[in-house]
Formats: sequence, structure tokens, C-alpha cells
Amino acid sequence: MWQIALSTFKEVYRKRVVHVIGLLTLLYWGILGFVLYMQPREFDQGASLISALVNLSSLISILGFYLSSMLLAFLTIMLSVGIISSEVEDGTVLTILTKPIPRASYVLGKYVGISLMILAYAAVLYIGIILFALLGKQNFFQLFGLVTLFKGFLLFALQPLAIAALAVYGSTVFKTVNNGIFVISFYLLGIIGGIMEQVGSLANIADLSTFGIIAGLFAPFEVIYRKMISTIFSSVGGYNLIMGMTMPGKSVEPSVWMMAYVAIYMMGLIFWGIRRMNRRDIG
Amino acid sequence: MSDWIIETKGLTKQYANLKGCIDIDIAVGEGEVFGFLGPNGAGKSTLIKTLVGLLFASSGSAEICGKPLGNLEARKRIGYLPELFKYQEWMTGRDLLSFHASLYKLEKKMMAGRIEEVLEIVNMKGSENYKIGTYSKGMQQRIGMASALLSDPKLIFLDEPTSALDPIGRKEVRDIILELKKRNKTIFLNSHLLGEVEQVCDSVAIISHGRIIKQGNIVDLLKGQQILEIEAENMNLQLMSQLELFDEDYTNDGKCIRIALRDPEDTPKIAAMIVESGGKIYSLKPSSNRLEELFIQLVEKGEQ
Repeated sequence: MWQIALSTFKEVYRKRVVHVIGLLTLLYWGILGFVLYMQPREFDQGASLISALVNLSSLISILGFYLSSMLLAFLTIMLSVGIISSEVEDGTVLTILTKPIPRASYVLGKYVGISLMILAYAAVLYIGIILFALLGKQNFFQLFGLVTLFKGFLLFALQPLAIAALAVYGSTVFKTVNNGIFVISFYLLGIIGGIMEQVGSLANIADLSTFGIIAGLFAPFEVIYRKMISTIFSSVGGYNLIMGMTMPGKSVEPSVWMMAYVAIYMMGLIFWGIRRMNRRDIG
Repeated sequence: MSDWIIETKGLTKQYANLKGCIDIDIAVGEGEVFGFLGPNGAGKSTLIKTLVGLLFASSGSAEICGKPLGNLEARKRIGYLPELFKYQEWMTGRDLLSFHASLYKLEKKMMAGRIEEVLEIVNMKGSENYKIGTYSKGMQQRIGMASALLSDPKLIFLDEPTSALDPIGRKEVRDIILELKKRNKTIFLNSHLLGEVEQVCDSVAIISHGRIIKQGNIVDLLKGQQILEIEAENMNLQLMSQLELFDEDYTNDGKCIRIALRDPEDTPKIAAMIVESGGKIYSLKPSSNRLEELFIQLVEKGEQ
């Protein structure tokens, strides 16, 4: 498995999309740095403490975590939709699966390889947010604490890892292009479901909330994001001020059980991917 | 455990469109070069892919190196060069070989030496540090062959290894096969380049429409398969009809008369008959493509 994982990591690293994402990241950091640099000046001009906290939360949530999380999701989708299907389509897999390795090791190796790359990029983005917050004269270590920040990072990385699990499963079933459509559809379903759940909760429309929760079961990506935001911001009591898609007011913090469901969801997808691969004719 | 390196019994792999290979019974001994021949779409690659574990058999059974299909121990002893293969273009030749050696779980100490050895066999020394994306088709074929040989396998499956190569590339691959034969490797060769198969194979099986229509030792199969090719002029009608005494189905394309000989002693008789009847012989020789003749006869008969 590790041979496949290492090779996948190297392959992904050498793909052009990583360079494109690198450029996008620099552009994004430029904007983030500029806005955070400007923010303290606004505060100095007599804004109230509550208003300042709301503004800061919004900025960090939208410009920091939300856009970083989207960038990470974007990279994950780009890199993982063809992770197995492209090798089946171009014939690379023929010489790999005839070697003395179980097909399960191949699928797991692919997932581990892409996950290592995702974790590395997630760490870069997450550390970037913390450093840029310093530029905005906000010391996250003092504000949230190291443990909370670490928990936040785990949840920050969990979302793309869940997307990658879906993409790896889809890659054992569909062709690359179809898998791209499949994964993006699920990602959007997660976002829409999250909005519906919050709007339903805000406006007391139970059916809308229920639909959002069901969508979240199929695509729990936005739920993970909300859990991350709630984990980080609840430590300063500001989590109810701003949630996920900047929906103010009443919000639902995803439970620990939901996170357990996410773990089962990911393992299930990898299991079904392996099962599918074990029964599939190649070539 | 059987004495055969490959043994199949009623092995069938059929797709939804009913194409594939049906009821395949073959036995290949150690050190043998076995040619598996057939027209395009006859089921050759399907059989190879089933034997190496890429496709799952619909019915029947098979053993490779005494183990059932898909067995990981057996896979350590086989090498496989697919027909439509592609290697990671971002890797160098050496990266590729290291990666495949790691998949074979070769010990680190052994790995470097073995890579040098296979590079030597396929004549790729000096090119191993270039990226595969820069390799010519022939070089890709040779690095693919090197990768198939990494584990020093007992059995090597080669699926159309020369089909995309120029004559020099084909000769290089043929030489590699002969070298492997000297090293007592068993080779399962899928090909429709029959002249080459005739040069390197000990035994062959011919498949048509998914079923084996003939198999056996190549010398035995070609016994009685002697074609005489004659280039002559002044061949009158009476003379032409007399040729039917030797072969009722002889062919004449205007340039060359081809007669399937029942007896080698017929050759001087035919020559004498043509000369006595006023014909001028410019060339009279046995066909060099005997296997091709047999193949065409059998496949055409199968189609009828």
C-alpha cells in the first residue's frame, strides 16, 4: 500500500493543477492580507466591541476559513476525481494490478497518497490563516488556544478527506469526467443542504431543516465545516455570532455523533470502493 | 500440483456482448515459448488478461505456476507486458523500475542490481534517467519489458509486444525473447505477426471467434504444410489444369502460383512438368510463411 501511496503523492505533486492552486493560493493570501491589514483601522474609528467581534468573526470565517476550505475542496476534487479511473482509462493500472499486491492495497494506497497531499496543503492554508490573522493584530494562539486550534485543523482537514473518500469511491465506479460531475454534485448538495438546514432552523421551517439534514447525510462536507467553525469560535463564546455561510443568529452545532457518522461515511466509501474494485474486470 | 506452468480447463471469459474466449484448454510447460494466435477480436487479449488476473473468468478453471488465478504468490513469478500499456510519463525509466520493483517487494539490496540487469537485457542502459514521456514507442516497449522481467519471473506474458514497432524494434524484441528462451523462461506470446511467432515459438494455439481451433507443437503443426511458390511464364491452360493433380485448390494471382504440397518429392515433378510444357520458371521456392498459410486456412475454414 505504501508504495502506491508514495507514488500517488509524487504524481499529484508533479501535476500542473498543484501549481495552479499554488498561484491561486498566493492571490488569495494577497487579498486576505490586504483586508486584514485594513480591518484594525476600521476598529480604531470607534466601532463597538460587539460590532468589532462580529466583523472579525465574519472576516476570519469568510475570508479565512471558508475560502480556504473551498480552495482545499477545489484542489481535492481536481486531484482525486481521476485517481483510479484515469489509470484504468489509460492502461497504467494494467501493470500495477498484475503485481503481487491486493486490489484493496491499491485503492487504500491511492487514498492515503492523496490524503497526504491534502493534509500538507491543508496545513499550509491553516497556518496561513493564523499568520494573516497576526497581520490583523489578532493572535489566534492567545484568542483560541493551541488545543482548540489543533482541533480546528483536524476538522479543517477532515472535510477534503471526506471529499477524497467520495472521489476515490466514484473513481472505482465512473469514468473520470462522470466522476467529476458526481463529486461536484455531492459537494454542492452538501452546501445547499447546509444552507437549507440553517435557513429552516432560522425561519422555523421544519421541512426545510429536515431536507438539509438528509442532504447532509449524503454529503456531510458543509456539516464538517460548521463543526470546525463552532469548535474554534465557541471557545471565545462567539460561535453563535457567525456560522458557516455567515448565517447570523440561531444555528445548529453539529453533534459529536454527526462526526462519528462522517467517520463511518468515509470508511464506508473506501470499503465500497475496494469491494467494487475487487469485483471489477479491468481492461 | 500440475507439471505445467499454465494449465487451463474449459476456461471461459465472456462479456455481455458474448465476445471473449470460450472453453479454452491449454497446457504450457516450463521453458516453452507458447504462441497464441488469432485475428483481431478473436479473444487473445481476453485470455491473457484472465490469466494474469485482470479479468474474472465466467467459468472453467486455470492454474498459473501451480496456483489458482489471481493468487498473489503466483503473481510474484509472472511478468506481464500489456498490449495497450502506458507508464507514468512523469517518471524516469529508473523511477518506473524502482516503483515496480517495490510492488514486487524486492529487497532493497537486490533492487539496484536487478534494475541494472534488466536494463542490460533490454538494451536500455544510458536511457534510464530520462523521463518516460520522452521515450520513443520502441523504448517504451523495452522499458515495459524490463519492468516485466524485474522479479526474474518464471513466466512472462507478452501481449502483441511488437505490433507498434518498426522492423528494427521488432527484431530487438525478438532477440530479447530468444535471450529469455535461453534462460529457460516460459513465454506466453500473443501476436498476429506470424513470421515472428514461427521463428521463436515452440508451440502455438490458434483462436478464432473465441475458441481454439488448432494447437500443438509448431513442428508438428507445420508438417504437411509445405507451400511451393512458383513464378513462371508461358503457362498454358493445359499446364494449369495439370497442376490440379498436385493441389486441387492451388492459387494463381497472375504473378505467383502457390501449391500446397502433399509430398516434398512433388517439387521436382512440378518443375519438370512446367519446363516440358514450354513454361519458363523464374523462381521456385518453398513459402517462408508456412504458419501464416496454416493460420489463414484454419481461420477461413472456421469462418465458413
